[in-house]
Amino acid sequence: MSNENLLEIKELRTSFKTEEGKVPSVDGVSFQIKKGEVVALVGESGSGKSVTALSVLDILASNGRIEGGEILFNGQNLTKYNEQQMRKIRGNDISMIFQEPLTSLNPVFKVGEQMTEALHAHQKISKSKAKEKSIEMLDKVGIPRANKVFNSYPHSLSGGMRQRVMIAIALMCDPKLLIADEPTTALDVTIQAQILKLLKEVIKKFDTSILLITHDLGVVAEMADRVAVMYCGQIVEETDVFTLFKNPKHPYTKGLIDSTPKINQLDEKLRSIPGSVPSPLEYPAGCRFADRCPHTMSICLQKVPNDELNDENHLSRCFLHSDELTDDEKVQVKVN
Amino acid sequence: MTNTNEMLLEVKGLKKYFDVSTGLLKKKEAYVYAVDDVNFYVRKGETLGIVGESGCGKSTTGNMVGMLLEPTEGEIIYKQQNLRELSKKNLRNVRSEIQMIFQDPFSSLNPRMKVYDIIAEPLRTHENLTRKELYDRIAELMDLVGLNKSYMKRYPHEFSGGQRQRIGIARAIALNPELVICDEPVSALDVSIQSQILNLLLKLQKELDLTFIFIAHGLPAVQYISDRIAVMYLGKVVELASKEDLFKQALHPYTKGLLSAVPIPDPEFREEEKYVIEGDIPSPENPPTGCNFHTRCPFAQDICKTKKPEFEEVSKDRFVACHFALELANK
Repeated sequence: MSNENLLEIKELRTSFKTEEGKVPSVDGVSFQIKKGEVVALVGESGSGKSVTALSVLDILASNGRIEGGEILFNGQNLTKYNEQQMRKIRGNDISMIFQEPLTSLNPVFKVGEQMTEALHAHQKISKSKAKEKSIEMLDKVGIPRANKVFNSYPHSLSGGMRQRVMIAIALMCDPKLLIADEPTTALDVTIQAQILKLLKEVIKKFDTSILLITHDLGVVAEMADRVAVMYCGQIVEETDVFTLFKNPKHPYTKGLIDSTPKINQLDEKLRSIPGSVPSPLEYPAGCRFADRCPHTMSICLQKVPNDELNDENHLSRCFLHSDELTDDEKVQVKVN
Repeated sequence: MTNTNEMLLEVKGLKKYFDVSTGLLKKKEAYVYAVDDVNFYVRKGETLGIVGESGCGKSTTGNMVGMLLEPTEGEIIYKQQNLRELSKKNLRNVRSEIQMIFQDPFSSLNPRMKVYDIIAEPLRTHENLTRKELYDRIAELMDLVGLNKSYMKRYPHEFSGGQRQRIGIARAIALNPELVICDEPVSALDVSIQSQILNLLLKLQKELDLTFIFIAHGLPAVQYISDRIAVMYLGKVVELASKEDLFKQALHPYTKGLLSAVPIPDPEFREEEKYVIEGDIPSPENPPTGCNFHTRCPFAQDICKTKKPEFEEVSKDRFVACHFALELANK
């Protein structure tokens, strides 16, 4: 891991136009990924973690738009790139693996054709060389009888094998950044363990940075170097993985950790976060977590917290860390 | 938990083969051996967890116990009566005592019915209540599962996933059942909502003296709610033990792999050596000979390829199907 930032996202805002109005899906998100680092974006459905990733590659649905902010990749602002320039980045410098390998592989093309496609798009390479390279890559991601798989269709492979093929395709052009959007969510646990093991080997062998998107704190604990916790389109806490689990600061992060059942602690009672995630069209005026939080104060209902705790290594968007509050602002409010 | 020794349900030699024969006159005979000789019992007041990966037959087993599927072979004995031999009238009574909660709260609730009618449906079918009694009962049920009773006249689409699952639970407990089969009730929900529902189920179990069969693929959730756990692989129960025994020392190599595969939400454990089961789950249409697991088992010997291991009680309340279970236990 070096100290150079490979990807730097500053105040990213992405929204979607819908019939009910403009939905702010990502609302002022900033974070960095260094070379060789694994950064996890954690959050529940609707927190904006996937949309953040899609924004990086500019592959949002047609009603989505990046409204503001910067996405700096190797110092270049990707939001200023046109489609042609973005195509040179996608699958080459930055590639992505998705949750459901069956829908992200094209069912009417053989595995081999889908693998060499990326190579031919980005490099001048002969057909036979491309095939050779693909088979080599299939071998590297642990696919037995790579030759045979190269010539087969996706439907004839199992879920775990398909995800391996997806990873092989993503690695074809030696990307500097790999975006993995819930890479193991659709898989069975024993297969998930295989794929996580493979991803760890990929990090070692290829020195790739990974932006890992997941809702599973177990996967985070196993893979990530740094973690950003997202809630309602914003990052509420960001720090290194050890600090996050040992000393979480934001009440949402604490709630998330406390409500995850752990197989190494048999008799612990699970706590849960009351209520549910508010709709993006009805975000409260103050802190977005205020109506589910066990520590809500009067200021939380009025003002939006910024990075109140802003240590070098630890960000938390919560008024609890602020020491500039008046007594009135500190009055506890019962919300749930 | 009110764990008495009274047996509520016993399943013996349960099998379900799905016919997938093709060709005219079924020339090519083929079956999916979804559930193949499953045995277990459930005591009154306890929770039996069933875990396993996709295709292991856990849901099929649940559906057969819930009488949604006719078994191919085997007995389901509920309160000393064999459900497969009951008369229609008696069966109807038993049906009100065994209820199910399903995985997907988006497809298991009728989108055209109001919450009131969804919860009222089993009550109208099985009980003769006046309008007022029905209303009171529904309000009481909604209160019990943590739903605001002013939501009675709303449609399912107006609710979040967690709230919908609460509606499904209210419907399942409407008739004061004895046994509730929960088939992946939290898999479709977000983490913070999962724990709400798990805690709600525990609360209801205590208050209403319920017995649960809790089916899930996620070991952490099953661990949290169950007293005993059955691990299924390819249509068979490979190990069945109390939660404590299972987590202290798994006997079957598959259980060991399953336990080791679950990522622990604590980075301090990340460097720990993992035992990763290689390979894929074989097709239940063409299961391996001998022990089902021998194709992926690192300890497999010649006997495992030819002889099916018996599902044996190795110590009190502890069952395992492996030729070498006791030898491996100390490894």
